[in-house]
Amino acid sequence: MNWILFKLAFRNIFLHKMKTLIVGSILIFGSFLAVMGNSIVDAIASGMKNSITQSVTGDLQIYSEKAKEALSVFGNIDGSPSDVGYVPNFDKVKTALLKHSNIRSIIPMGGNFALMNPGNFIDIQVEKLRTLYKKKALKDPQVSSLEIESAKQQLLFLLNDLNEGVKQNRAEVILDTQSELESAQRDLQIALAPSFWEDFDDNFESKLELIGNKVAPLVFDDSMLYFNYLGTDLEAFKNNFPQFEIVKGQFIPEGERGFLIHDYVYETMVKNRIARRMDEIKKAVVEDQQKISESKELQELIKANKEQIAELYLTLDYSHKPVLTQKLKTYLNKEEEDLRLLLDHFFEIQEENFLSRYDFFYKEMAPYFQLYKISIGDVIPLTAMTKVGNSSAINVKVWGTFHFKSFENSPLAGSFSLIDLNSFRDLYGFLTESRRKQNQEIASEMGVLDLSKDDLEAIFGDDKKAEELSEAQQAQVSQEKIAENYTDAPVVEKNEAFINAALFLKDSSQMEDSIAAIQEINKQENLGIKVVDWRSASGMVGQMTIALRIILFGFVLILFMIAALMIMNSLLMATMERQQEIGTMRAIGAPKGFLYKIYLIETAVTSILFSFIGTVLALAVIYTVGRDGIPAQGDVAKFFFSGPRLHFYPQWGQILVVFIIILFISFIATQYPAWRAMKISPLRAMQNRD
Amino acid sequence: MHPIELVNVKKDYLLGNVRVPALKGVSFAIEPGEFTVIAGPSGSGKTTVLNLIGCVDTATEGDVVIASKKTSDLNDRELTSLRLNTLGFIFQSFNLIPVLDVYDNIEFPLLLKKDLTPKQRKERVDYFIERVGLKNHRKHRPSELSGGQRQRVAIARALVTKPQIVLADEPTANLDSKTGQSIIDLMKEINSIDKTTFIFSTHDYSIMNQARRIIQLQDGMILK
Ligand SMILES: Nc1ncnc2c1ncn2[C@@H]1O[C@H](COP(=O)(O)OP(=O)(O)OP(=O)(O)O)[C@@H](O)[C@H]1O
Ligand SMILES: [Mg+2]
Repeated sequence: MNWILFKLAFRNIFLHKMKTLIVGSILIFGSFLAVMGNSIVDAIASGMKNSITQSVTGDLQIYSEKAKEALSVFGNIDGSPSDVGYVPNFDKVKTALLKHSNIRSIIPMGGNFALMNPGNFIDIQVEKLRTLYKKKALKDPQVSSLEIESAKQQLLFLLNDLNEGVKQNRAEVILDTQSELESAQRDLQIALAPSFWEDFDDNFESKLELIGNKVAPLVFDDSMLYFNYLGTDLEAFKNNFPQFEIVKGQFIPEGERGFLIHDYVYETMVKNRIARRMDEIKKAVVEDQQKISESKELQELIKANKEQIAELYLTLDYSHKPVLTQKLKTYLNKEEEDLRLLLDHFFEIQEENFLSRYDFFYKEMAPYFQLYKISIGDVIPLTAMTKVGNSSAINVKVWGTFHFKSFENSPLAGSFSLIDLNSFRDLYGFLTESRRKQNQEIASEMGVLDLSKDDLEAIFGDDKKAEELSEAQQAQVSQEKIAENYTDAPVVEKNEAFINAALFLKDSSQMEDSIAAIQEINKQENLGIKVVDWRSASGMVGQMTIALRIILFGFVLILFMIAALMIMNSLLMATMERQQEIGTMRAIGAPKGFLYKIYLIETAVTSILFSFIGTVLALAVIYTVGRDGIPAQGDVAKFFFSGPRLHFYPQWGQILVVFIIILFISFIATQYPAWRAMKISPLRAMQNRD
Repeated sequence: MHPIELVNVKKDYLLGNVRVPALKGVSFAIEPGEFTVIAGPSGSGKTTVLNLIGCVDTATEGDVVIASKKTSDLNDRELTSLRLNTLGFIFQSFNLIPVLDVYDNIEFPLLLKKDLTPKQRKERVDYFIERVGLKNHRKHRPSELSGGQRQRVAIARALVTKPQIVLADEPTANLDSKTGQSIIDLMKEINSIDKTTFIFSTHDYSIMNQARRIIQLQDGMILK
């Protein structure tokens, strides 16, 4: 019996080859896409889960019950940190929660952002000298007069170059009025006079002030550095995020305060722009196989480097100038003594010489320059906005850089640097009573004016406005920085506030149960916390795979709908063509159900056959490409893939779902044509073909 | 007991809003094993009568009784079952199923009937293939057969369920006279051997004259 049904059903499939082919291709494509897409989205979802949970969130996050916004560890859409208030007592929360057996660890954290104004290169050198003199006055044995001498020479080197620049009109002068400019240039001449340096050590205060206040404004400030950071218990952080790894420098010793910059930030934001552009070109040429001659972008980079050589030149350690000049002369084969001109030549980069110059740059030249605006070991001033809207500033030592293994260069995982919890609390504006008193004393001693909130917003808002602040105000900001310099002060005060905390579970598959248990503990012990899973805590980023899935599902569904419409159309056409035959079958004694079965089998065969082909193709790709992995194109992809390649595997459950959906849709598509067929009267059989 | 009985049957067709009376009160009864021709000029109502007997159409008035069942009392499923079990159809244009070969076409009603084992089924089909003289064509598709051969397949298909009544509306109209005659001969042979009741229409006089009984129609009425 059945095979006759099949024969009848198959007939139409072959009769309308073209239609079958089109329906078939759509079904093949649809099922291929669904199976393959699901497999990839799944891989991305688990990669992302790994990236997010292993770099910031842990399995769960807790934060204050009274939070105004939902916690988003990567910040809100506009980039601002989410306003979630704080929980005052970490120890109490920790003790209470660790009672739940599935919780492995709790790491307190808090996200914020801070600015660092590196000042201009003359400012920096002046500041360096000032510190050296101060230390020397305190009889620091590590400061030798030789070091001071060398710092003075460096300053002189910078001033000389500035003078050359002014003479050749290539100085980037920022002073508004002509008279200010002329007076600054006069001061520059004073500072360059040999007599100025003779009694420098004795009058360093006033001399440095002259250079810093009068001459330095001839130079542009370097752009502000912006740091997103996570304040956390660094030991706990290191121990619980196994992919955490120090890249440069060292981990902050226990009990010390300090700052760890994410290596990605360090390599992109902190690195000298000339060097960074060299890196970018290298990446484009080597990894992406681009040609300099064909890429406008790369040519722009080269042009920018040539125009801004000063940025590199000014970080040169003056004492190495002769060696570097000699090296460049030899390398470039040029009889030229002016280092600046030699550098001009060096950065004449073309297709053929790029790789060799890149190597020479890093191997032979880089050691003589300061390639990073912040060196490992530097103490940097960080200015942040406190909870209440004041600025707060601290000086903090940069101990090193870090990354997370397997998504090293991802901007998302690198979206934050790390700071110790106490420094975080200070920057955030948490003050213990004694700290508050101490600050007040310092403030009254120095007679600091209150900066208005507007001014602070200006500082944080945009650089231009910040520049418009009066010198006095700027000075005040930097004085505040000094006032709060307690980098070396031991941590003595107890302050337990935290913004949010990452929870690691022993068994992360028990997430729902653990959330319920934590909520219960929270109620009983009155902890005032809220608990969310990592996905919700990661905000938009965490929702991304859901969005991907919806898009994929929608697209595939549309494809299947089109296929269904075509199936319906082709069945209807066939029904119309076969009226006499259907009538004949009915006249001979075929019940309506028999016709219905023919239609069902016909569509079932079509849809099963083609979706099977699509699935097999997808599986073939999954087993071949998926096993080797798709290489992550770009750093963002690395974060989503949680590694350099995305490996994906068949998702049998979803394949089944795809199958069922296809069958269901084609079943629906069969109904109308089958109904039409069943309505055909056996009388049709009697009508002669005419 | 009559296998077929028509009692004052009237049939009107609706052509748009116009009522076309095709049968104006037809009554007759057929004896078991009769070999009957329905004759009459074109438009006299032959096809209409056969459709009513074949349970593929219903009368406007009057009773059509097939194998003691009043067809107007039956629902679609019962009518279908009656067609399958009691009636056999031979069509003017053969109406074979194009994808199925000779054997499959003949077997088709048996598969719908489901009352035989596969072995019995095969024996039955083979018997009728032999009977209509198509032993060497069992694997042929209808498109590979001549008109006469096709009609033989149709006859075998109509007979394979051993129906009480076989209906045929102008079975020879699409055949040349020689082939037509051989088909009529086959039908006569089966009628005389198996006692199957045959009722068919034709306007071929030479065929008409071979029938034992002729029902002559004119304008939707029987001519006495
Ligand atoms: N479906 C229909 N709709 C309207 N009128 C019809 C229909 N079928 C038949 N008729 C009309 O009913 C009458 C009887 O038709 P019928 O087909 O039964 O005649 P017939 O004897 O079979 O003729 P022929 O020898 O040409 O086949 C005719 O007048 C015809 O026009
Ligand atoms: Mg007719």
